[in-house]
Amino acid sequence: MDPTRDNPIIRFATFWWGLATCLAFALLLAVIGWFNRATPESLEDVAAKVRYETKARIAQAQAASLAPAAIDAAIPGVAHQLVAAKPAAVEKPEQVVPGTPTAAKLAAKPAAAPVAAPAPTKP
Amino acid sequence: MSSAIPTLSDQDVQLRAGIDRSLRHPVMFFLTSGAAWLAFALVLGVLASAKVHNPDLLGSCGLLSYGRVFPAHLNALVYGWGMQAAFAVILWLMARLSGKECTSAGTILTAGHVWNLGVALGVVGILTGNGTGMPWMEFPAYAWPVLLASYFTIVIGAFIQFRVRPEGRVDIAQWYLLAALIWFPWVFITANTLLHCLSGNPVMAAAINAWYKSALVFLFFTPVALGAAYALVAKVTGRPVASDALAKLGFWSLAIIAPWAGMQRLAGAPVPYFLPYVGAAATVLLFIPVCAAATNLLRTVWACRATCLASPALRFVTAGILALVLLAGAAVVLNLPDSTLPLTQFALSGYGVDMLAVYGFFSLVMFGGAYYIVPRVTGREWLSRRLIVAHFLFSVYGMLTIFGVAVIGGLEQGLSQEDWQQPWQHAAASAQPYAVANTFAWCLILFANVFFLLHLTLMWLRLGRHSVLPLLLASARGSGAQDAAAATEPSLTNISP
Amino acid sequence: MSLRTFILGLCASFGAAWLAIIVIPFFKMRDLAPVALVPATDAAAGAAGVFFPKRSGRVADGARVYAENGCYLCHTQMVRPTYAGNDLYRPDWGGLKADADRGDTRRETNAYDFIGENFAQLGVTRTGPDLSNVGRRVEALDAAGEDPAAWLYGHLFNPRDNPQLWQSTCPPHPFLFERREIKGSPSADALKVDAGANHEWVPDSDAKALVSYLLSLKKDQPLPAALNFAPKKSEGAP
Repeated sequence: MDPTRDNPIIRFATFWWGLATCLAFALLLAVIGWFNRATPESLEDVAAKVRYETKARIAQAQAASLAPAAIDAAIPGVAHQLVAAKPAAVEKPEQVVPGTPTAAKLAAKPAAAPVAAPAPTKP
Repeated sequence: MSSAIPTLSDQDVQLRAGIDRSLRHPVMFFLTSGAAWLAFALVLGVLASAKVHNPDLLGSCGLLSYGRVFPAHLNALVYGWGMQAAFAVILWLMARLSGKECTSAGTILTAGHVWNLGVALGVVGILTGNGTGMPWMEFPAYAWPVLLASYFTIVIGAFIQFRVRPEGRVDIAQWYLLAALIWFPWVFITANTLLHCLSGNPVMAAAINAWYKSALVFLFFTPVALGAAYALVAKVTGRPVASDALAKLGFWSLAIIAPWAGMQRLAGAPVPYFLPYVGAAATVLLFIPVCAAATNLLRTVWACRATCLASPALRFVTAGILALVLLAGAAVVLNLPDSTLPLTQFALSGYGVDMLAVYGFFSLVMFGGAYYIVPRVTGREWLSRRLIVAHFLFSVYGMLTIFGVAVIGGLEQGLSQEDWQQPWQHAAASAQPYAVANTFAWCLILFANVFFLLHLTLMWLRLGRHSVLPLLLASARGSGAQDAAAATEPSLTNISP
Repeated sequence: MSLRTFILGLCASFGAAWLAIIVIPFFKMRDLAPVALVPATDAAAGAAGVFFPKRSGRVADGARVYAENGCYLCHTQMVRPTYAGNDLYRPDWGGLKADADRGDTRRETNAYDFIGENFAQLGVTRTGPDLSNVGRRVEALDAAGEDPAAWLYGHLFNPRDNPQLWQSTCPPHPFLFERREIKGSPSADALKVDAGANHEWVPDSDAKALVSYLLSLKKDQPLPAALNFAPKKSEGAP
């Protein structure tokens, strides 16, 4: 056996060369993968862009037509109006809440004229 | 014509005996555990095939549902039997052809146990419903790094032995084996990383999976079997390979053509248009390396026909090479893009051709290797000629049935699938008789391999015959047989230096 | 030939194929550009944005159950273009030939059809029918008054319980269901299978995910002009 061809050093080196050979394409794949590591945008995200644009447009239009400052200015006026108004008795029988004393009183009164219910119309 | 069989020096005999002794435990371990996985895979294969025509067989058991039993069968066959048989043959042949003893038998045995554990966990994973759903890669994702690490530990010794071999000519068998053990990690890591670790387009993932299946067959099982065939033919017949140039042509044409094959399964899929057609072309062109290797081997064997009939190893190897030729023929006939590819794409020919490759070609050559190697590493001779003949005949009958079903049944099923004017039940019904034939074929093959496992276990337990002469299949009397007997004697076999 | 030449030769021969058919197509298809919809020609597919065949249902879970139980071994999910096979000619594989609203909706599979899955289960063999549009086929049962989900649950439990599919070789999956005692009133998902006195068979979560996935398999959305390879209607298709 020729000692120069078979010795521990050559065996050790061959072990690592063997490992490198077996992993050659794995390493190449790792390199190629690293250069391509940016995850592409998913189709869901691309399709969502249109929705986001629409949403932004609508929010803008709403903000334009309903200025928050105008709403804030209007609220105190309406609030004072409501505070100043006196509670008034309910006039229409449809507005009476069933089960209250007012409803009982109304039922006791002889019915003025039966109101014909309008026929329901199909949409 | 007949060369005088040269005698070897005592030094060579000692060297060979030392190599055989050093490899006894690893080789017997891989062959025996591989054969056990083979028996297990074949039982599952019979069950799976029976469920195709009798779906309610054992229907209530979730573990045995067809969708789990079939992948378990396939993966146990490929990774449990196929890879381990390949390990046994690679380890022994590379050691013998490089003339180096194995110095890490303990490490290899440990790695072999880890491999078995990995395969077992994988098969259990599939049966309990944790398979990945990727054909030929159904083991749960955690299995592949374990298998890879174990693989490397097992084969690195063979790589080192090749590197430190003494000066001299390198056999074509050594090139094939070396290529196989380098190609496997390249293919295995690529497929598993791209499918399990990185995310990409789902259809492209299916394409890479199809490539993996073909690459495993043509870039690992095929070169291992061809290398083993070249080495065994040379050893048993005592003759050198018929043509060196043809051998080199066969090897390099395989290296250049085979990596392109595989994606023909995705013809019509939304992948880059050229991929499936390049795959189909490469699969068809594989007849070049197959014919080159087969011509070489069969010419050598033909010159020693008597030995072929007598020696179990040579008989199995020859049958395997003939199966390879059938495989190449089937690959040509069944993959023509405009005519047969649309028919066979989703028919049972795919499975039949895969089994022809894994069992008909690869496994028969591995059996030949086992019948040659085991007596040499255990120092005992096989017990029974009849068991070997039974193993051979039933395997061949089973394989021929599967091949017939694959080609004829596959094409007929394809034609009725493509007949769009008929309701689907018509196409489904046409496949039934072929499914029954498949089950019958698997039963034959299971029967054959029960004999093999039994025989091999007895040899592993060192219960073989003490004999100087090898066990021969033909009744060996007369001078022709004398040459055959002498040729198979380990101490007198010579391979071309 | 030295070892170094040998390994370099192996690297070159393998590497060429590896780059050309595996790695480069993988990364290019990972970054597949979405198809922008052109309002002039793609009104049916949507007026603006990109072609996005959105799928509803438990796609990820269902695909996992589909893979684990080996459905891909006998069912395909690939409708091939006519140059590669006759799948498009069948009346209900690539879509519906005579849909009530849209007429002929059949189309071949395209690269965006498997959104939400990691691995396109294109299938190994076609022992059973193609499933690309099984959701559409099963929902046609609504007209007959049957619940599509219930039909699928029944099929999964035992395909041969359905007299029309007595020849089916699809395996039974009773292990995806649970036999339990009826507490109070029977469950809405209970199968119409005899489970013994005061018991019922109900689907477990795997069965529900799988059926949700199968119902989401409707791959016949209208295509933008850039992806539409169908012949013009005037040429006539079978």
